[in-house]
Amino acid sequence: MERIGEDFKEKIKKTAELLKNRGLKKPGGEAIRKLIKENHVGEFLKAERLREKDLDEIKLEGGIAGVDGSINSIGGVYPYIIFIKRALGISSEKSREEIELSEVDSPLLMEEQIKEEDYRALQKKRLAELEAEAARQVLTKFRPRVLFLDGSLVRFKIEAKSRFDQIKDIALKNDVVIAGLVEGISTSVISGSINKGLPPEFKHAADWEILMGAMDVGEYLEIKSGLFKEGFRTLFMRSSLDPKPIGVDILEEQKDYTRFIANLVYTLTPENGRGIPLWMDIVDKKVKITDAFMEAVINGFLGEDFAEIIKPKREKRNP
Amino acid sequence: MNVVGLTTSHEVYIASKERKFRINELIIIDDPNQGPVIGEVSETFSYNRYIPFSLNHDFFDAKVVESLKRLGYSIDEEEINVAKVKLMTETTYPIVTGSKARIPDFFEVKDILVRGSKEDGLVLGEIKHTEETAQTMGEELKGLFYILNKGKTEKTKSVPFILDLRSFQQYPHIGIFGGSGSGKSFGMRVIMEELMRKRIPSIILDPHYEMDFSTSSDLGERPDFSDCYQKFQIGEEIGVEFSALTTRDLLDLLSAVKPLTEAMSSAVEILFKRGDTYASFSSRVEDLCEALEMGKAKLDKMLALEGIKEIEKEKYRRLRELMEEYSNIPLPSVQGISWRLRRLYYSGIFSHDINPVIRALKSGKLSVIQGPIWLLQVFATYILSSLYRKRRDYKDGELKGEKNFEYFPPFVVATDEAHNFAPKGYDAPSKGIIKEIAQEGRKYGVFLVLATQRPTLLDETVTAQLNTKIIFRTVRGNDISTLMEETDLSSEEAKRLPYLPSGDAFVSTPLFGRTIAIRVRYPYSMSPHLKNPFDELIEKSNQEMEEYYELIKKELPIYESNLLRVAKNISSQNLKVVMEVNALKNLLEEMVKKGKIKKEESPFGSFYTEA
Repeated sequence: MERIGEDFKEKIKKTAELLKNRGLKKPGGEAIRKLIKENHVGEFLKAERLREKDLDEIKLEGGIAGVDGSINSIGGVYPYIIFIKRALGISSEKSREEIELSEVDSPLLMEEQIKEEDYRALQKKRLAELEAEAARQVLTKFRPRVLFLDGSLVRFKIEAKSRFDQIKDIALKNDVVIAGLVEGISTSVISGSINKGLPPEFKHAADWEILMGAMDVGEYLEIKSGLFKEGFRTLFMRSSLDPKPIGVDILEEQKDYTRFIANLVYTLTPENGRGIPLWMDIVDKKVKITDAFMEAVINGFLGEDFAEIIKPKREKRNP
Repeated sequence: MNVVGLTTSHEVYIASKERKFRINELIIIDDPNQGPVIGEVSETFSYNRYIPFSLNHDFFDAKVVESLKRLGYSIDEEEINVAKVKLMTETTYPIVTGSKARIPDFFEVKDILVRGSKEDGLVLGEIKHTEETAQTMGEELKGLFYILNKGKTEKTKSVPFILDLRSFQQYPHIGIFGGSGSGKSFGMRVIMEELMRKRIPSIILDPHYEMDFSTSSDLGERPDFSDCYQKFQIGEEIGVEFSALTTRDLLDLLSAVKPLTEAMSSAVEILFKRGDTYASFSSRVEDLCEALEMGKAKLDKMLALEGIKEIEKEKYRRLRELMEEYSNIPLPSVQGISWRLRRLYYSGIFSHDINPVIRALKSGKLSVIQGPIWLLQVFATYILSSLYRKRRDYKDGELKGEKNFEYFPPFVVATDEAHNFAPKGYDAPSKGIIKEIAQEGRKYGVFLVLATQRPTLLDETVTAQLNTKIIFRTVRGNDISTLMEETDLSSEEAKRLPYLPSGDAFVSTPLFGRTIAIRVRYPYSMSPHLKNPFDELIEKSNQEMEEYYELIKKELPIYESNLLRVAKNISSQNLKVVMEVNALKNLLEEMVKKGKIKKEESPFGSFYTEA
């Protein structure tokens, strides 16, 4: 792409300009905070780093655990494709074995053909179920003090209802705090509640955009109970220097632990990082399957010739 | 430990979570198809995927890592160790990825590590990073010597590095390279000790006066070297036999004092006659000098003079003849020769011969030749040529079946600062003989051990002939590139050269066919120069204090009012000491400070008394 047509360039320029203008219209941090307070959306609070004593206590009570999942697909055009799903549960207690669950599927093996979106949706659901199962095993085998899950807790409630109910029961019975960590916030609850004070461009802005730049490092907004996500408590937190907040869900029944979880998340997040606790990065890196590994495994088990057949032509394109 | 990643038939990567790798370790890879393959670690890495090297996001935060540790999760344990392993011999096919790798048992790698027995070889040190392999080694090779490790001496736990003496026949010469403080001198000392233990006739030129083996290092058990070596000072115990000198030798000797001009050289050539003794040659030079100073006219006048003694007349006649004979030699040249000759004479060099060295060599001893560097170089030329000739004549005679040559043993020639003896680019008297030994010494069983801190300045022909090279820490870039050209040192190893700890060295030898990293053993003896000059000062002053204390002890207690009498007493009793009141007072105060005596007050003034 050596040359860009004039027309093309013009269009990009125009859109970029519009986006910039929109951004300029966003009310400042103070104004946003005021709107949020006036509309009783929630309360701004300051998290504190846990002291060594607190950490020692958590360790004594079972430490922390984390569950994450990953999904890879290899092959060509649907349905010539193989899905590999993996869920992993680890504990900060080194002596505990990791809990690893996996599932490998291909639409070619289904009795009847279904549409690609449906199949993909199904895979997503299966992954949530796999993760929930890993979480259940973590709770029963590790008995941690805190269990971090990757993504919103609502996702589990929707995608893996029965497993999630089991998890909840065990957690409540054993007083294990469950927290879902959301890196990419997609909700837009705040803008809905304060929209009267917002310029038209921001009436439907996502929560992360509203809060971006409105909080200090370590500060979090605890959303008023019942405002959204029924059965859960949600807080948005700026846990690192990165101005984009992350989301944290906990069970409504465990609302007394909100502050504790906020502090723990803040303690475990690298200051220069993107806001996700290092602990979740560790789980994420452990569970992720690299493409090279995938390919090696598939080639190994399927035979290179067969693997070659399902590969799309575009992959054989010269670079 | 497993083979990971892309493999080739000469290089693989292995990774391990539990074990850290060290450079130069030997590793065995059990390839399922090709059997066990031996390799050597050439580079090591360690990687922790949770502590990424990233400047713009998720930068390492020590506080968070510490918090996780507090919770029981230590991120350090997630470290992955990776080693690049070079295979000893190329395999037919690339190594299978995933093959198991392990630390070899001694018997599996014996041939790679040990060539020769401790009885028939020079035990120079330990092969680095072989502790694990050494555990399965036979008892006869274990704990042969001491190693200096982090300031402490301890018995070696590794595989010994043995340089087989028999291999000298094939690979005769050794080079030792390294900057100051690199352990080069220790290396030389260890080689000398080993030669003495094996009773190999050797000669070492010692410009630094450091080759003494009587001071023992701090090791408990040690062999006694006292009858294994002899020290010779040029001019004191050994020298040159003037009548055996050739014109060339004499020219070298004279120019060692100060370089000769061309006129002087040709004057020497004219004046020196084969078979001259020192007396005959020097009187010829002196007389000519006198004759030229007087001049023809004055000489004729003196000869014509009436009433002088016949003996004097005889002298003038002789001078006159000399003048006739050497009329074309200018006076300054003769004067130049004259003072150089005198300086040589006063060094004592012409009053001795090299027979003591020959006797020492024949009895299998190490001869340490000491002298000032200006003399040592020329003397080295003379003595090495003489000894080499003797050995060559004997061997050639033996070949030709002639029995009339006296037996002369094979021997080793060693020197530090070898670049002075065989410099590159310009001529030095000793260069010729060292080059000759380097090139054909093998035939006659004459071997070189040359040490230098500047390989770049050493004559190339000589460097090329040094088959075994022991390379200590080297910092200079051009020296490193010289060494790389001359050895099979890899670029990775060359990169490590400036950072080698003192005493560590690479040995490049055709005998092993690869570069071996060694740590030189701790010597049994110590250089007399190793005492710190500041310790020496303190020791010296303590010693003096002790001597003075002995002197004044008898006079104690000493009243301040009485100092004059005491000073006189001390001076009168000891011829060597002249003590006056102020000096005595200072001395007494000094002793009080050091706690040797104490000062007390009394009604009669203060006095000094025993502590």
